[in-house]
Amino acid sequence: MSSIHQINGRQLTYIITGGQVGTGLLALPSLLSQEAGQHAWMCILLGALVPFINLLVIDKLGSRHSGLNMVEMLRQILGKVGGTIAVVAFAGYLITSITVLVNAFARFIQVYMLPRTPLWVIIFLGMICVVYAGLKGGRVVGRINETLFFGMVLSMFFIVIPAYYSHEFTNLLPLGELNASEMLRGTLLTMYTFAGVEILLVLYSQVDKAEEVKGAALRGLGLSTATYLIVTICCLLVFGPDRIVHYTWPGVSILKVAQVPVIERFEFYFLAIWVGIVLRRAIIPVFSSALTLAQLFKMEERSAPIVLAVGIIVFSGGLLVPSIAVNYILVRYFALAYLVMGFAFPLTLLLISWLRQGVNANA
Amino acid sequence: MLKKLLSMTLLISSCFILSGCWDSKDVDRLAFPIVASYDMFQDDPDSMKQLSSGPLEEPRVDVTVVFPNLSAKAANKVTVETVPAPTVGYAREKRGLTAPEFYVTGFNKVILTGEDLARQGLQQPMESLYRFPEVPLNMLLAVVEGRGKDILNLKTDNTDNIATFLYTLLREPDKHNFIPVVTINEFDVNLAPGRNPVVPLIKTGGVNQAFLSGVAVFKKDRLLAKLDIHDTRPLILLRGVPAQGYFPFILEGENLQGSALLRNKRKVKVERQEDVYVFKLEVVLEGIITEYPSEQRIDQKRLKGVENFITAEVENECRQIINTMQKEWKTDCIDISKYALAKWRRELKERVDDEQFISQARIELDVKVKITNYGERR
Amino acid sequence: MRIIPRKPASSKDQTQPKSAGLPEDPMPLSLKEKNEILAPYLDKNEDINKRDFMLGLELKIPARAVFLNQVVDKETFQRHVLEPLMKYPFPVQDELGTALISMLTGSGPSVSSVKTAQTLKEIIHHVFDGLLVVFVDGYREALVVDIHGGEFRTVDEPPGERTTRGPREGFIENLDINISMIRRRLRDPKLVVKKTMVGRRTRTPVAYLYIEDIASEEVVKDLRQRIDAIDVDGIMASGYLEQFLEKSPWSAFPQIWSSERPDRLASKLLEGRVVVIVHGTPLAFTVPTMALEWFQASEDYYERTVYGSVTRFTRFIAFFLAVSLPSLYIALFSFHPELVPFKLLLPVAQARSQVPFPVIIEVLIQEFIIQLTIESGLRLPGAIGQTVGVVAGIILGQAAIAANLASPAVIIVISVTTIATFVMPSSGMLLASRILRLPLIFVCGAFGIYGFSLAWLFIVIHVSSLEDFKTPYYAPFAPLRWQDVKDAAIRAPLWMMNKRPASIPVSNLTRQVKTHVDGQGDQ
Repeated sequence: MSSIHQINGRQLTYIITGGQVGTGLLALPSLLSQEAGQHAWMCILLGALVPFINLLVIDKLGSRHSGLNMVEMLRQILGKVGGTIAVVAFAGYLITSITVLVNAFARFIQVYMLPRTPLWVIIFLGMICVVYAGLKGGRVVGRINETLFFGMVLSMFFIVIPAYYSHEFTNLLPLGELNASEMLRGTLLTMYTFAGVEILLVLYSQVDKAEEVKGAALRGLGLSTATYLIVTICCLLVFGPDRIVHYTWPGVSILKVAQVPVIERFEFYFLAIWVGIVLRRAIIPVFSSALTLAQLFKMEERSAPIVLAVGIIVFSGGLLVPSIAVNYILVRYFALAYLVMGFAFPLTLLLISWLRQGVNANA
Repeated sequence: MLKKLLSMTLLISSCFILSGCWDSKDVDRLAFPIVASYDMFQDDPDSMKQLSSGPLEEPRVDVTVVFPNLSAKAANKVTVETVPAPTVGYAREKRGLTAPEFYVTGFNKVILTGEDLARQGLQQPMESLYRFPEVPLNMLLAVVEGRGKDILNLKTDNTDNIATFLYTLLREPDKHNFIPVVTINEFDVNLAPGRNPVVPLIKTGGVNQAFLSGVAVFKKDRLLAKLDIHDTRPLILLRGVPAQGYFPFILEGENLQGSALLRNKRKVKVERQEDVYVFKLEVVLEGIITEYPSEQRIDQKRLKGVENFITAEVENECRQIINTMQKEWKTDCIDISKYALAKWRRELKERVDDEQFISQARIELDVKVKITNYGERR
Repeated sequence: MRIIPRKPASSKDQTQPKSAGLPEDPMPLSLKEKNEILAPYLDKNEDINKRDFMLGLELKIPARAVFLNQVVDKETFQRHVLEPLMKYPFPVQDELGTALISMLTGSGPSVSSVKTAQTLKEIIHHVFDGLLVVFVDGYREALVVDIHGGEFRTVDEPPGERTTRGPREGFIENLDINISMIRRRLRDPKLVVKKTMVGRRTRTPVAYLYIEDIASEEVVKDLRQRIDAIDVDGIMASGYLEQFLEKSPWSAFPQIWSSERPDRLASKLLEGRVVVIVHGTPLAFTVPTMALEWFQASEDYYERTVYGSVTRFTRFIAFFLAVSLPSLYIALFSFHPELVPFKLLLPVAQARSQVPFPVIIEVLIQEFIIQLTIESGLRLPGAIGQTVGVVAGIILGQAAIAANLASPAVIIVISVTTIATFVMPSSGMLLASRILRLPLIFVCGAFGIYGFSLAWLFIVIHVSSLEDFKTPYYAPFAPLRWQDVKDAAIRAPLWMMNKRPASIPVSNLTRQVKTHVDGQGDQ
């Protein structure tokens, strides 16, 4: 086990949370309400089942192949060639998904903070932090997540305050009017925000105590689900299911509703923290994909060039998405991509592993 | 070591390269409006109409803004400027022609709209406010009887400027009158199905005076009716906007006239009896006696008398409003349809805003007044 | 970017510090020859005293004492070395044999430390280390007597770390006295004091202290190796040694904590740290170090919990302000003026409209002036230093406003920043905040709040990545250790801190058993 990438159980919890909560969160209430109206929050609960099962599958897979890192595990299951292809595909999926996030993040910063600053500059600055963290290795990524997690908790308070002052409970009622197709579409949409748990596949072998992984990962999922619920319910309470759809990022707009003396503008304080939260969402997959590739080339202790390369790819990829409208289309595709690469892929691996070695055998 | 130095230099130099300061706008180079008003375009002799030309530029709104003058030597504290433009957002282009500082709308705390524009619908002129990220959603909104421009041109010698005056006027009228505080978010939220906004009304009168004159009732974003201050109270009680205000009362037997300070609460229950929707409103007023000019002590019976008087008075006022609403306006301006929606949202969503929904609904009213205290004297 | 931990510079060579090439030959027998051999080293130095005398009351063996002027205590030399040796009642010479020197060691000079030396190299070093060396005709061995004396600064209140409730005793430049100050506070027989020398030419004595059954063996071993690996001409102060030991020299953050107060160091020893004292510096430093230590003042522990916690928290805020207030000012007033309350904005904007510079230049000018004031004030004697401060602070500030070179707001911002800077109880983090401020000003000048967030994220990443002696620098915040947080963000009651800090590797975690009578804390 490589020591500079080693993390502990609590860090894994925060990494799993941090790997999911990003810009998607701020747009989520509006997107979900479009499909499911006042039932948006139910879709989140339903949607959480998918990563829940996903985590259990990955944990099962990891414990069957304990002591192996992801590359070794995939090669054991799929053979040398198949394993290598799968690793590259998985890393590619992580990298492309992060480019979409980085682009959304930069557009978001452009709208709220720096309207005249070129997009590439915003992305470049963000990527400096991302790459710097990636270069420092898994141990440091784990530590940053511990710090930033509390930033996220703090930012949740910001969201709750306006909801406390101007809420309308009828906005959440009635409860039982959801039909199956709406629910399915809504749930599918949440997949993009829940994507991120699949990095457990990479991180499983880096956790110091394997028996802690399951609990820690599920706690992480619980925390991010709670975050989504808080934001969605608060936004629904303030804007209502009909008006919320007019907002691009209701998670930020809600902060402009409250009038708090001295702290004139809530949203800036929120965004100042949120920059860290979103970049952490980028740090984790960048680091994970770089680690996977480093494992492939057997240079885990010298992963610097790979991290840099991944950073450059993400930077240039982030520039390619031409507008926020295209970004939203891509988000929907990535919800599907998550289902394939994040959810179905480990499940298939587990099935193959079972077929090859029997259900009970420990590989 | 070399690698480290290299990366440090790279980092520092990249910072320098990136220092374009694209968004830097020093505070002394800003033009920040502190209050704005949207009115229908009027071809005044002093209008800056010559700024517009071409078919797309036909002015439709007058955007009036007030800037503070930063220079210590300026004779006036503020500059009031009216720019005619086809749309509100586009008026910013015209503004650049008259005052080419950075235009920051984030400080604007009050937005006024002229009555005539409000009758045409506010969604269009206010759209750019919602779209512009730096505009806070807690900006206060009021409708002006007449033109907003006239209010902004008032000379205010007793306050810092007109913006401060309007802000204090609109920030918390609900603390002493039954007039709601309406932000642009509040307005927007009330455009949802089954809901309609009401907005405070401001009027000029006397010499350099502006005052709150009631509320404007909207049907979605269009002004429907103006209520004077007397009719505003029952409307707000029925709407259930938490507020606090004074009620006069007369006790015939005692031959006295006094007043009470009451705050309101509202409960709504909705039922469906076959095709008729029945709304059961309960308006609860609770508070203290502020004035009871009598040598007699206030006892249980006299208290009851006061309560009964106010109850009857409020009930009567409220019924009149409900009547007008159902017969004339045919619009739910007392914010009760949302309770029906909360039960049958999918079914009602399309027709809750139809005229017959509210005019055919049965509205039962129950007013309760509770006096809890009578101050230092008894 | 280096990820692999660096190994000590030359771990192969773990011998004692190299000497300047002195011969290791044994000394000759006769005194005359000895004098001849030693002459090239001793005769050119006029601060070396040579005292020839006759050993023994009756036998009269020629002998010579050699010592450094003003380093050896003359009074002791005369009364307790010279006199007993001259009046020594030797038995018959034939019975003496080679036992003379060992006999003298036992019953010659009546001082506490006497030993022998044989080779030229040893003897030369002993002389220059300030010991008294006595050669006797006919014997190879020389008698080495430790009667250090001379002038020292007296123990007084440490100027850099004053306290109102703690002891007023501070270190001085003498190693042994410093060690004794710790010993007096920590009478544990398990307190180990080890000495070594650093510096080929300065031969500076360095002592490291640890409590055997608390400190981690690995840390002690690692420290020992790293100190031994230092091969340098000389070290002038403990700061030299710190720089040789720290792992990330390019970081803005101090990585080795030092103090001039024995009471604080004793408490560090009890937490399982190793204390290093360098001769000639009234400071001692400890390893392993965490960032947190710069925020802990000894006052926190001497005062009551509530007061200690509040002041601790104030210090964190002060550090944040010291690093970021000027940059926040720039971000607010040249990027996001919406964030400023309107009633504050208007006067600032009006004042700013008189100033010809952009906000960032305005801040930089004032910041530079303040840095000049601090630097000049530091070196000047007390009264003049204060005058300079007052002149810069009040007169210059007023003049700058009157001349429209600065707006009043920026003067306030810079003043508050400077005050916040000096809230830090020890100087390391204070310097870090002064350094970090500048890049933040530039980043915020270019990107506003976004730059501010990124800069702090960068700082957090950097701080999280520092680690030395198996101790994460940013602990207990990341990696998070809840039981340590009670002496981090706040200062919990002393009776609640039953464990030593878990972030530091120690061999014994238990500090105390539950001793408080109520044990609840609420009463």
